Amino acid sequence: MTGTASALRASGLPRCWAVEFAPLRSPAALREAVRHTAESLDRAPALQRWGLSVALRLFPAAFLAVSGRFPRSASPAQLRAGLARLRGVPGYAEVLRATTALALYGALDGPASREALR
Amino acid sequence: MSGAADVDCDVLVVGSGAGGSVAARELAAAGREVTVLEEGPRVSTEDLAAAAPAESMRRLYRNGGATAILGTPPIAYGEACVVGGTTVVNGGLLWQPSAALLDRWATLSGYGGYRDDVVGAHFARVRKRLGMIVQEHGDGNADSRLLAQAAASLGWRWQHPQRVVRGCRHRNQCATGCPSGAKQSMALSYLPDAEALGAVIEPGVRVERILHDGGGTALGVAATGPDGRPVRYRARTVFVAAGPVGTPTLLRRSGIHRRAAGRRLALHLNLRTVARFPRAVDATRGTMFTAQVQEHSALGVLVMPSNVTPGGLGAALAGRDPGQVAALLAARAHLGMFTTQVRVQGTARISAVLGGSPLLRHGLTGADHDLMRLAFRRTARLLFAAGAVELLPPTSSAPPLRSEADAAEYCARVRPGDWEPVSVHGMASCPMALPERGGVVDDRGRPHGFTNLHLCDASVLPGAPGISPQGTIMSYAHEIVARHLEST
Ligand SMILES: Cc1cc2nc3c(=O)[nH]c(=O)nc-3n(C[C@H](O)[C@H](O)[C@H](O)COP(=O)(O)OP(=O)(O)OC[C@H]3O[C@@H](n4cnc5c(N)ncnc54)[C@H](O)[C@@H]3O)c2cc1C
Repeated sequence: MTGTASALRASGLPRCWAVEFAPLRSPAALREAVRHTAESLDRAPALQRWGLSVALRLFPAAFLAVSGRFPRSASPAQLRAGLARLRGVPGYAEVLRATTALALYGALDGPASREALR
Repeated sequence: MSGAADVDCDVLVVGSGAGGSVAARELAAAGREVTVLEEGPRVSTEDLAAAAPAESMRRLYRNGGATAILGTPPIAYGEACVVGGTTVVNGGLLWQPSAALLDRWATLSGYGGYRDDVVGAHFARVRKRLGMIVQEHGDGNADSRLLAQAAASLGWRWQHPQRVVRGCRHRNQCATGCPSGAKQSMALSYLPDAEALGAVIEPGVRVERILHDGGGTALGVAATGPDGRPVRYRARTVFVAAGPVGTPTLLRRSGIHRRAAGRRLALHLNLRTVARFPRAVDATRGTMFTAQVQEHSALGVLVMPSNVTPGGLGAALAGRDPGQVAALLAARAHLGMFTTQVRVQGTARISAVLGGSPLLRHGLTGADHDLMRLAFRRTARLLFAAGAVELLPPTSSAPPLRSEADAAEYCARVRPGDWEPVSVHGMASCPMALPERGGVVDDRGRPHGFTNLHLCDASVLPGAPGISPQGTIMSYAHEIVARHLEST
């Protein structure tokens, strides 16, 4: 696992994806989602990479601020409510959209999709 | 660069995409010793077939596909970094620039030598060499059929696309590299020809700077080799084709036309609309698309379906409410994704080069916002005529639209920052024009004041053509190289 993948997991964001999106619920799909997101962030231009890594590091605190809980200990319902609130916070809306897009792409067009495409 | 290895060459070509490949092949065919330096890796058709689209996205695209042009709204910009350049991931569409466009550019630039008689002849050569065909509907592409029927019912002009494919197997993976080898990217056409004629291609070599004497003579380039070590290539002639962002970045890093290079990057923007149909359309089945609606081409607006993959659809919907995303993904057999391509007036610029990477910013205008609204309204009319029952406009916060009246209301409310545009066509960042008209290069592709340095890629086009640009870029590159060969 790369440093970015570990940071991503530590942020609690993958847990949020799994709760919110059925296609990201299986361990294999979530693994591909994390891998694609982390490896894409590793290739992003320095400024974007830096901005996103700061946003990821601050994600648990931002989640705590809007929901009163850390993402790791929140129930699925609390996670959904907290994320809905975070989507209204300028800056986090874009971070959530960008990372969710990478996660969905990585899982749905990742290695498991290859057989279907043949 | 002390400690750099030195390599002596005759002609250097920087970048192996649409422009660089033409230079490599034509110069090698004329007996020159050609060395092509390409930052990206060499990837075979077998590699592409073995990789999942997500893996190819990370491997083939610059910045893993995550290049952003900052501004209101931010624009996601896509280009490749691989042997063959962006032609490896493009749709293989090949359109000829019209005589009217070339006349307009001649008037604007002050150079009259790139009109239809010259450019058209090169285009004919390119299309023959790449085996251009008219891509008719196959077994799939139900989304294209519906679009074509709708255009016909409205009395709007549409056309099957012209593509450079040999035996397209409709694998629907153009944007992550053709896994069957049908698409005639530069990696499968001009570059193997160039190698057969003696050209040497060096993948994994990133050019950092163009070396010059400060008096208009290029001496070679300073590069970083695949092993991370510095290498200095000395050459008699240098052709730069690092793409519409890479070429001006290199010029600026080399102190060549630092202020003018990359000051204006012309763009086509793509607005993506997801449409739901009452019947299954299975939009993942078929090749990229087989119908393009050109009714509004005079406004710089084209409408076409886009490659749909489950992941591409998921990514396009990612900003929406998760419940809505789940419902849409579950119904994906009924969904199509459509592109509205808009030629905008506002341009982007390289506002800084940080650690070797350009920082891009755009200044879309109020007129661009109005044109995007008009373009979306026309797209909505077309898609409802095609039988769509619901449209998801290119704004994640906007609700689904169920009628033309909804579309009109969305257009009345949408603000410039609400659009979520993508761009895959950048051009004209070092335009060919007289210096007093803002030109960076002369009609031989040389930055003004230089004798043996030529640019020959998307950056030299005088403006945005409003059509997919590869045919125009390659035709210009042919003429630039022909003029160089005539004069030496
Ligand atoms: C998804 C997608 C679909 C598209 N579809 C179409 C289509 O169907 N038809 C069409 O006409 N156009 C299409 N385009 C656009 C078209 O492919 C490009 O306009 C065209 O390839 C640009 O040609 P170029 O030579 O300027 O640059 P590129 O083809 O991008 O080549 C530039 C090369 O230079 C290399 N390079 C950059 N900097 C350096 C450096 N410092 N050192 C060494 N190498 C360097 C890059 O890695 C790259 O390989 C599409 C683009 C995309 C992204």
